[in-house]
Amino acid sequence: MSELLRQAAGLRLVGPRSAAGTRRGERRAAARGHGGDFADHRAYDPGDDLRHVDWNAYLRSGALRVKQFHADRNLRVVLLVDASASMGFGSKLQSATALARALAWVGLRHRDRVEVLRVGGGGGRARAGAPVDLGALDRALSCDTASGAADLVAALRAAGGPMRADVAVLFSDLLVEDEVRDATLRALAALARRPALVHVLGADDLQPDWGAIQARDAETGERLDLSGSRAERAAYARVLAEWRAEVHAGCRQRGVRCVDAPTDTEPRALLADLRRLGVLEPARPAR
Amino acid sequence: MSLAHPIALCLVALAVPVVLAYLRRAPPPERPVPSLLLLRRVARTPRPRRRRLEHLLSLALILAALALGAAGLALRPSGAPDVAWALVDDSASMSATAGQGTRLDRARAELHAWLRAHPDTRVGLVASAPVRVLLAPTLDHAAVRSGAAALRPERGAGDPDPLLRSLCAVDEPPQVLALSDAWTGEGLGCAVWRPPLGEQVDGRGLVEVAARRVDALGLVEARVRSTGVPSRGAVPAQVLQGGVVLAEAMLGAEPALVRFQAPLDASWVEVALPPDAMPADDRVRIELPPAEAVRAALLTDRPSGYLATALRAHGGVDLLVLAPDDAPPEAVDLLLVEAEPRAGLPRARVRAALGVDPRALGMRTSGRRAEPAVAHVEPHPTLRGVDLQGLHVARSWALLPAPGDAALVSGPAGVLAAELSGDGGPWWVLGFGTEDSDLPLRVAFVEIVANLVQAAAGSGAPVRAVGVLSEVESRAALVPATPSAPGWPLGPAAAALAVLLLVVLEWLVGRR
Repeated sequence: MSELLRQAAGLRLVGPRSAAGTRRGERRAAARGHGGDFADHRAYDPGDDLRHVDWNAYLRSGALRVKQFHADRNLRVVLLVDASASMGFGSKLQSATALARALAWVGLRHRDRVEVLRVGGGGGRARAGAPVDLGALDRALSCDTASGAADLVAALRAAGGPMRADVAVLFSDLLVEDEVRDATLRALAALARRPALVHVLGADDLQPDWGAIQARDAETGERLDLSGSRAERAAYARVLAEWRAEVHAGCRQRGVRCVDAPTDTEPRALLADLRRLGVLEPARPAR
Repeated sequence: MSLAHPIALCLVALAVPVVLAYLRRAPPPERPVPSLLLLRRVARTPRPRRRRLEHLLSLALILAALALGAAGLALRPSGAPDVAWALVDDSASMSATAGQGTRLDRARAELHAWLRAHPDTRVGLVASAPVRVLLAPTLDHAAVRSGAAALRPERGAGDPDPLLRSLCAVDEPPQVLALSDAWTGEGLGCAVWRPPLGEQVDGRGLVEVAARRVDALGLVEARVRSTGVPSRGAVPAQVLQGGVVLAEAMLGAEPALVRFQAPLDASWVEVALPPDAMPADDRVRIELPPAEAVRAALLTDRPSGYLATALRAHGGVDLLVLAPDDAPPEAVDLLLVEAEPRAGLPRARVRAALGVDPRALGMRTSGRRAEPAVAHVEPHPTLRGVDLQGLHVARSWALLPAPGDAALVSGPAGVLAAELSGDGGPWWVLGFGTEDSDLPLRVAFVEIVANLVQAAAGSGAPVRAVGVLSEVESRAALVPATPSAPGWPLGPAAAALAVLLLVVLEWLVGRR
């Protein structure tokens, strides 16, 4: 078990107040069912299970009343990993994959239904509902090389209809044009009731080191002459800070939790950030 | 220098690889980056056409720098003359202070700089004090430099105009370098360049010094004039001899008369002003003519008496002692008589008789008196500084001055000393002799003898000091310099500066 999984063992994904899953799970659903939490009484109808009749209430009122319980449902979790060419620099893709795998494992441990999508880099998709299915998710995530451009907006729309998922987490560097970035965040916010962005950035993004070069965009192939001057580097640091602020502002505007995940971040710190931003929470003791 | 110069050739040859390198310049190495999203915001992306233009501009700048460097080394500046005459003023005013050195030092430095900038110009050398050609035009600039180095500020001065006019009267007039603080070269017919030779300095200095001996006893009178005296002030001056200050005076705008006592054997004295920026006119030496001895004749029957001894002891007296029967010389300066003459008397400028019967000299007397007292002494040059109070006279002739005569010493017994008229001029007559009183034992005797000798001594002719600067020279006026050296468009230094600017420009273009 990796360090990240070991750190995440006592955590679970934070879902909405009522889970929208279709299968039995550990989360309370809005619908009545066979959960552990008392919800209400209703009048007895013939055919109702006599085990649910509240005999104490019958003795007090003389009327047969049946106890109703909240249904326990699982969470529908969608994890999208950006595997476009820009994620292939440094260990961005590896970090994103490891983190997605950890969240998937956390979800599966709590009987959530987890769907993993790899966007770009050849694509990949897998769905699982139990820890035993983690291998299938691993296969979907397994990707050594990132390549091409990833159409994140299309992938998010293809992942399901509006609010189809309870939790959706996008792992990406989001190095796309501003309008594409906004569309991506909009699609992510529309996909789930608790959307989150894990913003993965590597050393090539945060502290690039270049001299007089002709830079070639790994995704578009576009070229740009750079001098590598001190002034140029200083301007880059300024632009980078502004851009990260724009990403955070975009997330806030659309209710997307945004977690910065530089590739050199320690797993413990990363999980702490996820807990602080409400993506993970300590797991409740089993009833 | 020509383009065949090795350095110029090297620079020109350097252009070839530079051009090739630029034409075949490899683009910067390509490097994949995650995204140009952010880099695009910090890098200005030149369009290919513009990039090509900048590339060519950079190449043009490099080539221009190389061409300027070669031109600066190889091309003779336009207007550089074939022949130039350097007039180096070596008059005294060129010794005036100019910065660390003198104006002459500054002139040499300017000449050296000009020679360095004009290595292909033949240069001749002319000095101005007096005007003389030191060197015909030559390419041997080392000889020119050494000729200028040998010049020293002289007290004489000359007008270089005629000489330089003749040198300029040729088909291709030469350049004239006026390395002078006074000569402007206006209207010469040649291009004249005057470099700056420092600042205007204090022009105070001795411009007139003359002296004469006033008497044979060392009194000297000097006439001194200084230029540059403040309108409401004076300049202190000193007269010195061998480091000893003989006199001090304050000089005004008008010439001052300074009287001082010089040692009898002094053959010269110096007049000095406080030092200023030009020392050449702050100290002047005057040669004094030897003092002329007073030719004195003493008619006496006591050749070893007091009077003879006193006169012999006087350094300025050429004494001739005559006995009463000796034939007198024709004329002397001073005639002293203390015995009755029997063989006639010489002509003399000053005549004095001591204790002689006045009748023997054609004067009147009331007789001889015993123990006459001295009651009154009239002021007279012969009695200057003489104190006769308490004089004891054993016997004396009582003189009877005629109208027009002057009684000098008198008492109850009558006139004891007088200036009496006689044939051939006045007599200074003392009624008692050296044997008749205690006068020889008193200082008054020495004073009387000295006064008689001084009266007999004539004044010497004034002597002018040699080498005193003219007033123009002493004022050390400085003619303004021409703004800059003519014919100087591109020297090696200017070319180097231009090359540096172009390299910086190219670097800036390359950074974009």
